[in-house]
Amino acid sequence: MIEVDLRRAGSGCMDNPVAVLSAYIERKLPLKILVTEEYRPLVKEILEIGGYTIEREEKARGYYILLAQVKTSSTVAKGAFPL
Amino acid sequence: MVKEDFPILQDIVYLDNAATTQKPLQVIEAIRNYYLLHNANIHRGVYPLARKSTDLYEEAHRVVAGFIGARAEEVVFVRNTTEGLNLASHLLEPLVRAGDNIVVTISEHHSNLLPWWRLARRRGARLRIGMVREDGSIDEEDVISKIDESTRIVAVQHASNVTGYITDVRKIVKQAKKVGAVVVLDGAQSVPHVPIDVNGLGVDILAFSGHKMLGPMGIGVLWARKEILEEAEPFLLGGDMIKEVHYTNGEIVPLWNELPWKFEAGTPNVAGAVGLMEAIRYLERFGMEKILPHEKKLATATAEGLEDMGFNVIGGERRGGVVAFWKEDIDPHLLAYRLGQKKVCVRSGYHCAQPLHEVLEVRGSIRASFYLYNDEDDVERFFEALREVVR
Repeated sequence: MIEVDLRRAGSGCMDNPVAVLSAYIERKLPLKILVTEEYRPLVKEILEIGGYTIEREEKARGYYILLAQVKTSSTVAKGAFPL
Repeated sequence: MVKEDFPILQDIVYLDNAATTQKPLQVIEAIRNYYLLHNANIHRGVYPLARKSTDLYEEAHRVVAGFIGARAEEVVFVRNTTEGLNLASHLLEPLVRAGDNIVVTISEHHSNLLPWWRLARRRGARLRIGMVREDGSIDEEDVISKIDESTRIVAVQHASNVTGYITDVRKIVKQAKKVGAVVVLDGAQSVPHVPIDVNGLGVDILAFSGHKMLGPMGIGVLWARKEILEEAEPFLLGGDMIKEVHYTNGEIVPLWNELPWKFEAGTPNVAGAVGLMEAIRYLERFGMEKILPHEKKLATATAEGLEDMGFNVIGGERRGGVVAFWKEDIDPHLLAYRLGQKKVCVRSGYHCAQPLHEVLEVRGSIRASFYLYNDEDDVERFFEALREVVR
C-alpha cells in the first residue's frame, strides 16, 4: 500500500490532488491517503472516477485517512459532474 | 491536409497548444537528419562537418531574423521564452536605479512578472502593475497611466495565455517612448500565431519559444535591438562567447565575441535551432496570416458552446485561439483529467498566471487552445467528451 500525503495539496498545476493522485491511480496501486477536510470530497470523487473503492475512512487529528483499493472492472463507476 | 503531418494527432484531440504544440514530420525529420548527417560542434572545428553544422546554426539565426523582421546579429538563441525574459532582465538591470519603476500587467505569465519583480527589488525600484478590464483583457489605458518619467522598463505580453486577448502594443509603446522607457514584449503566445515585425511594433526586446510554434523544446529566441545587446554585459561566460582571452601582466583579459554569439556561451542546441528553422519554413508555407483567423473561428465556436452549457468563459473581445472557462463546483483539474481519459487534452489550473485568476476571483480554469492543425472535428469531439463528463 502506497501512502499519499495530500495534507499540503494546493490548487497549482502539480500540487493539486488530481495531479498527485492520478499518477498513482493509473498504476492501480492500493492507496493510503492523508487528506484535509477541504479536499476530502474531491479526493473521494477522483477515487470513484479512477475505479477505486474506499475500504476505510478514519478521522485523525486535523485530517482524514482513506484506505482505497481498485474495484473490479465490472463495478467501476462512470460518474459525471452535475450541471 | 495539415493533420497528416502530425502522426501524434491520429488518436487524440490536442487542445493544449498554448502550453506546447505538436511537431510535424518535417521538423522531426530535420532534427533526425541533423544528427544523422551533420552533427558536430559549431564555431570550433575546421573540418567540413563542423563547417556544415556551423552553417546550419547560423542559417537558423537568419531564418528567425527574417521571420520577425530583424537582423540576424540581434537574434540570440536561448532555451525558451522564460530564459529569454530572464536574460532581458539581466541586460536591462543597469538601467534601473532606486526610485525608478518598472511597469508590467496583472495578466502576465509568471515568466514576464517574476524577473521584473526581482529586478525591482534588487534595485530599490517599484513594480507598477497595470490592471485588466472586467473580462480579463489588458486595460491599455491603465497600463499607460502607470508610465511616467521614472519608468525605465515596460514589460507586457503580446497575447494572453488565459484570455487570448491581443494587447494593443503600439499604444503602450507610444507612451513608453515618450519617457524613454525600454519595451519588452512577451511573444510566447503571439509569434506562433500572427505575422510579426519587430520594427513595426516598435518594441525593443521580444522573447518567444520554438516549441509553441511547431519547433522542438529547448530552443527559444531573445531578440533585442543591437544597441542594447552591444552595451549589455553577457550573462553566461565561457566558450564561444569570447573572441580572445589573454593573460597579460598577471591578469585575465577577455574580449567578448561579436553579436549574437556574445550571449550564447557554451555548446548551443544546434539540433533545436535546425528544428526551429524547419518549423518556421513550415509555418511560412502554411501562411502566417491564415493562422489566427482559423484559430479564432474555432475558439469562438468553442466559447459559444461552453456558454450554452452554463460555463463562464474568461475573456471577450479580440480573442485569439485560447478559451479558458470555469464553473463553480467543478474542479478544473478533475474535469481536465476526465477529458484526458476521453483523449481530449486540455490544460487546467492557473496556466502560470495566478495573479490574473486572483484578480478575476476564479479558482483555476480549464483551457482549450487551438493551433493550425485543429479543425471543427476537434471542437465537436471536445464537446462530445465534455457532455459525457458533465451532465
